[in-house]
Amino acid sequence: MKKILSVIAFLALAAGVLSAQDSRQRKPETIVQDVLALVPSTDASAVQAEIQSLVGAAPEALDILFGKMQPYEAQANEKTEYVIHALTQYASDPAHAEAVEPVKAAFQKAIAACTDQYNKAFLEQELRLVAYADAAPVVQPATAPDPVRPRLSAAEFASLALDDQRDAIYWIGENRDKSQLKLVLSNLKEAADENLCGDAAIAASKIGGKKAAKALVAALLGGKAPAMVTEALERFNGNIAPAVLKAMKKADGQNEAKLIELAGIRHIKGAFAKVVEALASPDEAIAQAARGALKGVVTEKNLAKVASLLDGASDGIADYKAAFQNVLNFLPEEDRTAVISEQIAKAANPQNFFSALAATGSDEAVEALKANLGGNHDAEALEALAATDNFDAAEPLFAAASAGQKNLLPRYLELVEDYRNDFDKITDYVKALDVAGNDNSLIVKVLEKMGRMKDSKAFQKVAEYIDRPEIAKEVADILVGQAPNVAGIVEYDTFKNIISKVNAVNAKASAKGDADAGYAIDAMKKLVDESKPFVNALTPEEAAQGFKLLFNGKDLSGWVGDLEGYAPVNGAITVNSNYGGNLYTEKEYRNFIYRFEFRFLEEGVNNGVGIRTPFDVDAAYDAMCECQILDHDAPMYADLHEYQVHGSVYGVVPAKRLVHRPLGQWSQEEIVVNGDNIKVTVNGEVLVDANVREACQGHNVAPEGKDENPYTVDHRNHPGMFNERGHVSFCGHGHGLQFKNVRILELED
Amino acid sequence: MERRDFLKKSGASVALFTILPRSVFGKMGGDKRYIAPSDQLTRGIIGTGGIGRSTCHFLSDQNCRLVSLCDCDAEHLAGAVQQAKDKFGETCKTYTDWRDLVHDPNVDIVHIATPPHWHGLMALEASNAGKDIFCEKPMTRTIGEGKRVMEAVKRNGNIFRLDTWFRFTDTFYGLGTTVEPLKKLVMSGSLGWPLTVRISGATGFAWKFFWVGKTNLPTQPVPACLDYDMWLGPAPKKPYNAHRTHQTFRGYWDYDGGGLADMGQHYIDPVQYILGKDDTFPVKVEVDAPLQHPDAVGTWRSITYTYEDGCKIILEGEGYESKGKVPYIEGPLGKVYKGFECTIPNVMELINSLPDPPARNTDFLQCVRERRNFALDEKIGYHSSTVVNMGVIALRLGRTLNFDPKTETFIGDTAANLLLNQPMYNGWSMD
Repeated sequence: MKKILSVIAFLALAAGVLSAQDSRQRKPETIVQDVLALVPSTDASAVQAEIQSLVGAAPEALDILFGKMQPYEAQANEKTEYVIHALTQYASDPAHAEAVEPVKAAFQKAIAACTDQYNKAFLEQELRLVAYADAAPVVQPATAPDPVRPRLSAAEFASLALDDQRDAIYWIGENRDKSQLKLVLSNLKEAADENLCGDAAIAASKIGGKKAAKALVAALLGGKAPAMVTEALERFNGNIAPAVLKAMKKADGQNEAKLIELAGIRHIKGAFAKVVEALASPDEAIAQAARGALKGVVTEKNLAKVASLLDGASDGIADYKAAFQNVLNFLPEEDRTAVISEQIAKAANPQNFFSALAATGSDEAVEALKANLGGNHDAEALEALAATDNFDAAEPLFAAASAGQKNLLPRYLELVEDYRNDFDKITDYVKALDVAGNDNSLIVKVLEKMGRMKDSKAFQKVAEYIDRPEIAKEVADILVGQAPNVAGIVEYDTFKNIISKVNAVNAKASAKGDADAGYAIDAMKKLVDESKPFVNALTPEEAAQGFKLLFNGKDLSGWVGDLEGYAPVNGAITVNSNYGGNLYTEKEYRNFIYRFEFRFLEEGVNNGVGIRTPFDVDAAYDAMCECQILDHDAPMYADLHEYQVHGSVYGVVPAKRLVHRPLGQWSQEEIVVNGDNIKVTVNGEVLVDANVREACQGHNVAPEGKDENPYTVDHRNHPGMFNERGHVSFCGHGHGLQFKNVRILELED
Repeated sequence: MERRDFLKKSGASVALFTILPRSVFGKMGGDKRYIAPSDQLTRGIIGTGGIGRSTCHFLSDQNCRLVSLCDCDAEHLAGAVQQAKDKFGETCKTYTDWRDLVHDPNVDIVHIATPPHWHGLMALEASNAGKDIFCEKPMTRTIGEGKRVMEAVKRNGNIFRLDTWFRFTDTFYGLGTTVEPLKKLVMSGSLGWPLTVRISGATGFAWKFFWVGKTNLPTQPVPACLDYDMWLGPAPKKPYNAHRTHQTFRGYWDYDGGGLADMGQHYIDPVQYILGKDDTFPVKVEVDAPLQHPDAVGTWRSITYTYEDGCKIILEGEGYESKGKVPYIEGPLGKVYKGFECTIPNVMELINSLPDPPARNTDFLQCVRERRNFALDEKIGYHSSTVVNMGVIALRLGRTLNFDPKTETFIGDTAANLLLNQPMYNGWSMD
């Protein structure tokens, strides 16, 4: 601050001295030198005062100033540019109207004399602000030399070889050179070569504009290169609707059909009436084009008309269904079911509307379709339910499949796959296996679904079917695909046993010449080797420091809580699909270093480490804190708050965002808890190093005891934050991860 | 020979690409809803540099798939292609001319993530092509460009989202909360009227003065991967120097306007909402700043906006923050400081008892599907972008300006009005 003050004081003094000199007729050259010496300046008003002197000494002083401009390449214009801009500010200020004429004249003189294109452009930009609208000679792009856009005269073009002509037309299109549209359109119309004509069509579509649209429509109705012309119109840069609608008025036969098709593709809504009229055309080509185009030209305004067309439809009912669907797409999603029901109520053929109901996926729609089961339109209702993306449809589909319509079973399986959690999926798939009975192709379909699960039980269930000779190879293939996803979450002996059966099947196939089966055997052997039980042990340093191993690799002695959902598998604590609760250390701790390794087996894993937590509470709030364990890179977490990423002290201290290792790879984590301090390190990278009390300014709960707490990042209360001690926990929110080498060192207070 | 090959190749790339079967992307974990390909929206990103490729902007999921990418820097484009492959398993169609992406029939939503001097042109073209638009802040580099975009979007019925979000989500910098509790407090009249908002390092907002330009730049060779003419587009032709382009373009008036223009809309848009000024503008803007260079953006000490009813927004530049404890917002009856510390006792209790502000449509994809306006649409975006640009113009002219919110022009200052619309060069135009 002191420095700035002294500079300002100096400037004020200098300004005073200078104007005193001015009154003694300071030379123009001196004024220019003085103002150049001022810039760059933090004191704009001091510069403005000098500019006043400068303008007062126009035209000489201004000519001298502009004469200071060096060629751009010399990199020496900084000061001159500052002063010229200050001059612009001064002369464009309404308070200094008298300065406009002399400054404008000086700018114009300098521009006329300027030979450097960049300096000239700069001066013209500045002058624009001074000279006001009446005399602004803004850079005109048309007069600027244009090195990349050479123009071809008709004669020059004609003299080129065909290949070069095609290149030239292509190039004009790529550059959207409007000025050469005429050349392009004459080739579109008259070129003898079909390819050249097609190139011209594409070029015209890129340049765009009314003329191009009109010419392309004319070419569509009677020209060469029909495929390219059609494509050009379909991807035209701009609005072709007026040209198409105009041509439609006169076209008939094949041309009418072409235009109607185009109207549908380009969504030319203005063609709706014409398209409806054409539906009744005796010319089947036109009627067919109209049916296809209908869906493209509808809006919500055509609801009644399109509904009545659909109700009475026989030929091309799929087109009418699509058109009706597009009308619905203009309406808010939540209104659609009601609108359809209204149409069904007055329809002669309500079943024509079932697919629209199905597409809403709404609960009401599913109810309405179910109400039609067993009635006149039972088959259509069932078909619609099979197309519905709503799990409520699963039960009637399963019932129908159980009653003999086994073709519905695959759709049932899809719904289960999309909507059920892994625990329920296994139950549902096993039920589906009953329905499949002895139908091997259906059994394989169910097993394929199970084979996509990263689940130990599912893997073992699939493996049961490898003993059926007719499908043994299919089952083996499913297991080969699933094995890498479950390696490490199936007990080693079981896994090895299943894989040896798989390899036996593949050995037979390999002997018959199936090379892939041979590779699969090698891959599976390698996988079994890599899936040996994990070792849980302290390093010698840790043993010496006094770390205790909290997990022995075999059972969960020393742990309490959800011993079903957290199971020791293959030497790692594995969170399985039976999850539901948390796992706690039996002992309570206060200050400690907690180390463990974790790995994600699935995308989107969510867990956490509860610190100083009582039993059976939400550790994020009622423990000291929950350190987030989260696969935050998964797309489903795109909208995450920063206080939710991995390592974050949930809701209190956001962590540095870590890039997780790929699925299946182990990471090392350390959490150091000491008093109110917490430090989280993953793979050597410190993610959080904070004091929770300071992070919320001591307000772990809102001062007025309200639910909204402005002091915490998540605006929630964290009543457990200052717990003296508590258990350490894993807080389950889903399956698909493992922990090993869990160890702790208690620290003294 | 090479050119003919290129021709043939580019002919092949014209063929429309096929929509992937459901099994390729339908499976995203157990309980996720499956969305049929025909119901999926698609998005193309223009500009795959810092913003376009950053985590919260480079997105693709089953609701809206990223299908196309465009950049005039081949390295940026290649990086984005790889990223789309690695992150989403998508093979994106690529373009080097953004107009091709805009007219790609497979793109529903055009995401504009280029430097600001392009925003107006691209949004206008996308609007005329019937596309919906996701435009990064700042909306446009000039007030006139913003107006043209707003009018086009209205005329063509597109859904437009200006991408800054603090008016409806996320902790608002120094406030320590979202703006909603403050909006409730202000609208209840509990702070009195008129109000003064201070956007300053002292209240938790950084103006990023490292985004300043350099003068006397030496001319450098244009990197082989960059089509510099395309990068410049409507901006005046100036010899290449790396500092003018990627990331640091923010320091040049030709493309942006430093921290003021680049962060301004993040900071000021929520204030327009809090003060209920979404349909109007300040009537006066005053600047206190060093003399500005005509090309390189410089720093400033303060910029003060005054509304007709006396409400003020004061921006304090880095190094010129008010000393001591200053409120973020202050009225005759109360003050709210950084971290929502308030002079009104039991303020949270009070806020909880106040009615919530009207609900807003904050799901852009839903807005696109149901043809509803997004919570920060072209109109609101134009208004807050204009407030920022008023400051930019005052800063460039170095003087106080008066503004007429009805005519949307400066009063009695021709040069300022000339800066509402600035010339476009190299054949580009929005007219």
